[in-house]
Amino acid sequence: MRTPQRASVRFHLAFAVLGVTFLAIFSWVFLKEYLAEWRTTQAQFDQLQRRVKDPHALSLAAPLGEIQQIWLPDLNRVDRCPTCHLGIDDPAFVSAPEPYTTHPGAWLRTHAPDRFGCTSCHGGQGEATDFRNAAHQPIPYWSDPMRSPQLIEANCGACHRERRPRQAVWLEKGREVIANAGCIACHDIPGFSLEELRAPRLESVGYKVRPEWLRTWLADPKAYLAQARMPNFRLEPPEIDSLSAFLLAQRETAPLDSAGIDWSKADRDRGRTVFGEARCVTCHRLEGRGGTMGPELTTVGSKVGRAWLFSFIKDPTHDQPGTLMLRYRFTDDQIRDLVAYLTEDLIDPGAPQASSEVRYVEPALIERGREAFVRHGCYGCHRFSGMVDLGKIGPSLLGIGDRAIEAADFRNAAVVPSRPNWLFLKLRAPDTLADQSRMPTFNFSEPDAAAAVVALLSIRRADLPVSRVTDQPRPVRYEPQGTFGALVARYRCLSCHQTRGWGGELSTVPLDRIGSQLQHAYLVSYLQLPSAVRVSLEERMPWFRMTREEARTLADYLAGVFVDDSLERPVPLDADAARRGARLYQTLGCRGCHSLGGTGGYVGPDLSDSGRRLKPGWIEAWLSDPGRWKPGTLQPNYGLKPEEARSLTAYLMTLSTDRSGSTP
Amino acid sequence: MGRTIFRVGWPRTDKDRAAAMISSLVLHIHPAKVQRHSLRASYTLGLGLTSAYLFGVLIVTGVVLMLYYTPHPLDAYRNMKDLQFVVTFGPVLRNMHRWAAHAMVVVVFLHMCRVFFTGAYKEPRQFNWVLGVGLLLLTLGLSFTGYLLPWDQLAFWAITVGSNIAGYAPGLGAEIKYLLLGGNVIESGALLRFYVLHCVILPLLAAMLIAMHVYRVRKDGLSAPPAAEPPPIEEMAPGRFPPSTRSYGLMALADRPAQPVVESEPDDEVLTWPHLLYREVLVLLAVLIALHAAALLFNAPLEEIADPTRTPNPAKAPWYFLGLQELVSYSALIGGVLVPTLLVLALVLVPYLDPVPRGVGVWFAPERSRANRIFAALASAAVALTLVGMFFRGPNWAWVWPWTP
Amino acid sequence: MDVFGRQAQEEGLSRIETDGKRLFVHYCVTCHGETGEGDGQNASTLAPAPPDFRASLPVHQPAYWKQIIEAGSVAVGRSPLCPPWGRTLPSDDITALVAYLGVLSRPAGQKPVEPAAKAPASP
Repeated sequence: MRTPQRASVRFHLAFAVLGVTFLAIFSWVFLKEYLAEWRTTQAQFDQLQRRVKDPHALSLAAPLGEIQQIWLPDLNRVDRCPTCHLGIDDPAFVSAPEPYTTHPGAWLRTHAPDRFGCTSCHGGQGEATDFRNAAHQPIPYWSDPMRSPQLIEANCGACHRERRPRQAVWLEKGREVIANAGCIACHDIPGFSLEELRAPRLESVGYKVRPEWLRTWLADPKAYLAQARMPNFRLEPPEIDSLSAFLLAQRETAPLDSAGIDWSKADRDRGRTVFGEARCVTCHRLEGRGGTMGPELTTVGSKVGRAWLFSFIKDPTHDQPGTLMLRYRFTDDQIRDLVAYLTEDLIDPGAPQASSEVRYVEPALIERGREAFVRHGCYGCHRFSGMVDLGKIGPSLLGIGDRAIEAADFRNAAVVPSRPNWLFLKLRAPDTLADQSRMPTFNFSEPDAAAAVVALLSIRRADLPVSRVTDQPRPVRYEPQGTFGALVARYRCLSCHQTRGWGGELSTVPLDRIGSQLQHAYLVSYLQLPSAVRVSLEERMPWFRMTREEARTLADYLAGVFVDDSLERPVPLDADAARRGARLYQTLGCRGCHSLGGTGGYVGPDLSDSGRRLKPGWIEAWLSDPGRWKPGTLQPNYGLKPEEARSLTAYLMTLSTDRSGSTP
Repeated sequence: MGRTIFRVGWPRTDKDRAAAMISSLVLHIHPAKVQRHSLRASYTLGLGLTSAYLFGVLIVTGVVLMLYYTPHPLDAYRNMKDLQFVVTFGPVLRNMHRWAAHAMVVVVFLHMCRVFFTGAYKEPRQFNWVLGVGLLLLTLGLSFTGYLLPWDQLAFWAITVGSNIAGYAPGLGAEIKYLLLGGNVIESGALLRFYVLHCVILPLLAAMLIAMHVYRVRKDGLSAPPAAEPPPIEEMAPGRFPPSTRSYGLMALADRPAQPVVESEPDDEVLTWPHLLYREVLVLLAVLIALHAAALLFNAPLEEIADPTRTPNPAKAPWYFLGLQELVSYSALIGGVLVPTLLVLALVLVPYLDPVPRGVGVWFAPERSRANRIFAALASAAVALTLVGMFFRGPNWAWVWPWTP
Repeated sequence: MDVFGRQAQEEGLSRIETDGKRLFVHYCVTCHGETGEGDGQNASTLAPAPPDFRASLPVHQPAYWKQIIEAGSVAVGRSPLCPPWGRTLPSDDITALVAYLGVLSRPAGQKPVEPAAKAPASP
């Protein structure tokens, strides 16, 4: 036999080595469990709470050595964050280091952790019990890492679907950017489906614009108008040719007849005066000043033709039924002067000169233009008869906040391949991403794009239970009928004013209870010739030149229907009270914001004529609690006693510019 | 009392040792004595034994994992996260199960190569080879069905690709796929089927085949070069037992073996206790150490939750089917159906197509060089195709070099 | 490049300070001006004029600023022109305003000190 002795020694040795190795590695399994990160984290917290808390509080503290978790079945979330964030809801740890510190702010009061968990707001992997896997920083294979402070409002928006969520400025701004940019023209976007698009109809655009302007505009709308709403479609010159041909061939509705107008009599200076009196700048910018509801007019003379403009001012709804523009009661001569001023004074001397129109009538070119019009989805904004059911050109944005991002999506390898960065680049410069995008360039500023990213990230794929969602009811379209309705439509009151949540946002005064706030006689005179109540405001009510009958009709209806019965109550107005009110007016410092007879601040409305303007019930109610009537108002609540509010009301009701001597 | 359990007690003599082997239920699957040649590590490489150990580890870890698993899409992925983060020893259990499963595929394949290259499938072990081929297929099936259970992206798309390959079979392909998935797409029905296959049907089948496989080994003995040339086949009378190289039978049968025991060299045989058992324990320890180390050092992959709307590019089958996927990329019918079917058929028929009883018990016997070359070529082709699928295929199954990012 | 990391650096305000800034812009700038220099559009109508925060804020403690915001400038014996906001704004808003006044009281260019390890740097 071969030396069995030596062989057996070799085997014993191998057995010993393997056996010891196995025992060692097996105990490593136990050690790893015992030294788990969350256990050591809790041990450190134990030492900390022994320093921070007194023995009594300590005896009430939650036991350590266990995994703490918040289970939210309806959200399909298990958050084990409190396993390490042990002081999160205990003010005693406000100055403790992470992860033990108290949650900042009052957020946990409104979002109790046992009802909302942690990752609903912060993101991250709630199931994890160690720092890395909790996705405090992005990790592979977890698509929802913890949100940075710049992006956390995206998670607010998952539940808070209001257009203006409270205390989420980026989200609010982002939603405004999305609404204003008209994203829904091309994309279905949850929460934005009722958004109104405000692009002009183009069925008769051939009468409206100058061919050379149209080419400039199509090449880059922002080159003509910095505030242009239309984005840059990055069109090639052949497409600009064909699109121009197609658009200029659109001549459905001819402009109102202006053949009888003697243009040689036009007076541009009178036109300028009409322009100023009508307060066109409330909606239109001119040389850097004015509103933005309508297009800027600085170089409108280089854009539109004279005949069309005459027709448009005479009746804006003639070829633009849905326009926000009101129909002034101008005479033809006034319109003539105004058009002359607009088309001759407001021109761009550098604009390209008119070229021959002949090459725009080629049918093949027009047909190519129609194809380009459809290909770029122009019909999304510009409602066009015959292109009603073409559908949205871009993909639905449902679930855009969960869009899977691959590194290959980025052409520029220097960009971190994250979802926010992808969205940011897509918004800022769609053609820098790897896919061949038809999305136009909007030239969003960086803050606007960042805000829009926050709003987009809030649009998640999995919908939440209804009980988790907060939203505002979307306003119902309000279209009054009858004579009043016809006047409201003619003067486009709801382009600026709101009632029942419906209407424009230019005016800060909702009409809902205007009949209980203002006196009838004042309404009638104001509608005929609006005077400035807030002198510092650029955007004032236009001078419609409406007739006395019209003003009376409007005022009657407002006084009869737009009322709040709680305001219609008598307030005793005696001279003693008025004297006390005058003293209060001084001691409270009202003059800081309101002016009276030409002195005082101009944050609030001028009160010089309040005795003829306002109703006493309203003044008293307003002074007692301004925030109740107008959230966010700059009028603070002074905490007036009822008799103080009555005294001030009595004083204000004595003020009038009509009787000399009553103004102080 | 002890005697009622262990009949023999601690064996102190060779006779006791032989008795212990014979009288113990557990040890009974061993012969009392084994050939010295078969014990050499360089001969068997311990691959069959290692496969058996891996199977045992998989059963143990698998049963524990079952306690934490619900075969439903809404729960399965969360169960994985719980195993990863809160179940005591959860990560180690899952890792060990995963790595043991992968290792078993490799080891079973290598075991087959070893058996071929040493000619150990020859008479009288032809049918045991067929059983072995069955076990190889079961191993792949077990691994494949287990692949889906974590319900992550990796699982979902690997099984999608894998089950699509099954769908390429002409005629019945769609039906096979439907039967496998319990529907046309992978969802809760497929998960439940895979779960039952993985935890009940396939393990039972595998256990039965393993029992037969081992019983055959026990009956036929470990292969070894014959001490003398066996008698020519034509001399055997019908109905007689095939000649055996074994000199020691379980039961003394009057008409076997042809050669008297005394004529074989007694020095060539040693007692199973301790020579074989000691080695088996050492292999067990080595396997356990390796598995623990792998489980502690490397985490089993877990990607995002399965998302049928988001296809990874490239979507790859489990790695052991990547050779198949590579073939499918050339031709679905030939690569996905014809080649694998012929290959399995050829494997099954190997012992019957190659009946020459020469070159048994030695590696790469020169008498069998042609068979060895053919097998080596096919095996390396399979390995090469698998490696290509694993490392050289990028998005859209285009060729990539693994070292370029 | 990480566009959102960059945004964060440029803004440089903590969450509560951002809140405070929003409130300050809404309620205060008409008189106090964008940077608190007392140059808001309404400032010229006021007598006494609003103070220049850069000089006046460091003189007092945040508790004093808070008192003026809540109860008006009358409460500290000055003119009644700065109204009391205590009944209008919730206490969290006033805390945020005080935090933003802290930003305005720092010399220009000095970034606020973030509490350690509060804000993850990138999305």
